[in-house]
Amino acid sequence: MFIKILLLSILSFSSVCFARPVSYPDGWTFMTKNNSEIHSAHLHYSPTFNKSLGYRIEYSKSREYTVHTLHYNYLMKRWNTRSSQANFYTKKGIGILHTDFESYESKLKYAGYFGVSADWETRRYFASYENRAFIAEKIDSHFSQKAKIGIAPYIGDYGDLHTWLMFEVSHNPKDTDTITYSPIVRFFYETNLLEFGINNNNKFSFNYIKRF
Amino acid sequence: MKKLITTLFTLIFLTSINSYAQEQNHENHDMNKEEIIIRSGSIDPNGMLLKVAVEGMVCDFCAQAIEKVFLKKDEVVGITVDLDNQNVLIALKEDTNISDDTVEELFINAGYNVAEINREKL
Repeated sequence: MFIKILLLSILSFSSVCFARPVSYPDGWTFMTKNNSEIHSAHLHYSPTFNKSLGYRIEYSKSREYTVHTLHYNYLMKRWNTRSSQANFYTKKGIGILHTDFESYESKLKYAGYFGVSADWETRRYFASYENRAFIAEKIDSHFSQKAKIGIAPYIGDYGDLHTWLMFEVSHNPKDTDTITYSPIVRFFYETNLLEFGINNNNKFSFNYIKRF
Repeated sequence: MKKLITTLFTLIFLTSINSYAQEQNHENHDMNKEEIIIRSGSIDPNGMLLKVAVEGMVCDFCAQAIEKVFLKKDEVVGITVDLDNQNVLIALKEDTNISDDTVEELFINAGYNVAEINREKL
């Protein structure tokens, strides 16, 4: 199943093929995030280093809906030092939800979400937090949040393969398991970032980001 | 499942040892050299070299962003981002120059801050 998801994700998006919600001026980013609950793909363009605008598609497995949104990320504040960088972002999206779930046969509804995220990173350590409030009229509304910490077992040069060992805690109040924990391995090579995780319920996650 | 996790962590362990050894080699090598290495592009032997101390560079994505921004400038022939020492070397064409204000503005527009700029005529 896991291999299938990995291959499908790579094959499906290789033609359009990125963790930061914004890129450099004129940069494009493709990202896909997949776990036991949600599959999503997001392509965005950054006109400046602190804004990105793009299209995001998200499929919720248990609620059986697909959401298409115009997604906007804004880097409100960045703190740079000689050895670290910290960021505070807002993320929002507005669009259409389509579902066949239960009595909602082929229903189309307006949907939107808003969230904030923050991260802090050195070449050795990483910490992040993000949340999101999702609203789709009469069909679903929920709040979710997660926090992640990481350490790089070695510090590679620019262009080397970088490896991060991370630990993520997710809080999804509407799910059966409201809190889940996942050890995650992140590989980072050139313009590619790949993450594999497995949570305390033995469910895999796979994230991939490409910047170009 | 256990096999997969064991294989994954063995791979990470081996990669870590190899990279740690390389890390030590880089450190030893850097202490013994003064040569100029340009990673992207080239160097003009009659041009100017800017050495910029930068704040906020923590990963390869940062390095790539800075390379892309500066290599778009006509005056720039080559660039090296040194994440270890938080410096950026910018090689300029002969008879061209970029003011400190412009260099600072380019870094700010890419999301980074400049601590210091030094210039050297080659």
